[in-house]
Amino acid sequence: MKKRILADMLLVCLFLFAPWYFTATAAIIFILLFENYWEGAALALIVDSFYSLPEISLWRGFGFLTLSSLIILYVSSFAKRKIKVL
Amino acid sequence: MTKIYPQNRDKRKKRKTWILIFAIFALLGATNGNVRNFTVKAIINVTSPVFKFSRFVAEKKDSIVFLFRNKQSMGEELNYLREINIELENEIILLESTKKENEELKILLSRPEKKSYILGSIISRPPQSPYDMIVIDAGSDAGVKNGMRAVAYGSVLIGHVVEVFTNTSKIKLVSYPGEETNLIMENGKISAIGLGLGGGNIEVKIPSSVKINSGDKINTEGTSHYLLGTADKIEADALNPFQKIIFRMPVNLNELQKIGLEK
Repeated sequence: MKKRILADMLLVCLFLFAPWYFTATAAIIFILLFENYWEGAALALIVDSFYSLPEISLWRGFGFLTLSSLIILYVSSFAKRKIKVL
Repeated sequence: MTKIYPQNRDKRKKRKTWILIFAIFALLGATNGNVRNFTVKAIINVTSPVFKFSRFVAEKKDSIVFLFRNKQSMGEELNYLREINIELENEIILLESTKKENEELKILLSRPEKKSYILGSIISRPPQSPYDMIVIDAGSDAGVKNGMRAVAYGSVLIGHVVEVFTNTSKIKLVSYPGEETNLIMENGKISAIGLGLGGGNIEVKIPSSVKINSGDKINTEGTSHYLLGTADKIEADALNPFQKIIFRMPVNLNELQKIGLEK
């Protein structure tokens, strides 16, 4: 749990101070490392809200990060479950 | 056969519920404009104070780091800046006379120039943002409206307002991918459309017969024009009737603190 809180704090700091690609990379790594890392998807939603435009056709601007983070989250949790079963 | 224990079943159920909630929410945001606006407004209102605080922290950090910088490099920088200052002072003398002449001509042609601006501080900029967008701390409360032109240093057009909230506004930069801007190549005396490429770059296609040199000024169209940039990379091909000019915005967004929104 401590590790997860530290990861959350790091992600917030990256979001506030670092270029977006560092934040995106960290979010993907944390999604893969932790179980059900919803914080990553929530942050993607915040980033998209902050920077997207309504004129963007793909999910009104929520497609780039929010949709991709949801897909990564779902696929990773599915894969983890399968690997555990095997 | 795999046995599913009750606690695992609960976990799975919880996960599925969360995915369903998020999917419904995202789908609503994707299809319904009002839901999107509500979500964006709520998130921006909550997060913009955090952003303002982060800018404050970044500025403080810069001023602390400045104290510990190498003395020699500081001296070199100072000499360089002194030289630049002399150059700029000379340019100002020339500019003053041109400005005066321009004003006289405008009065003569009954086109007096009355520009007023709303000042805004940048709270987020590329590369923090994945798109060529900046967020400023002036919103509808300060009188900001959609479509207002964003100007840096009083003479450089950097973009226009695309979304306005109570205390914040989003500005789409002229270099936003696919963004079109009407411009005039000052030396070539030809108007064209600049196409944003992202990352601060803009592309223009003009006939190869027009002679353009690297460093030529590129301005916006209109009586009271703004500077867009200077020709940087010129790609001309003998087989192609058009030449491609790529230029960058003449401002460093990382150093830019405040911008003006033309009323």
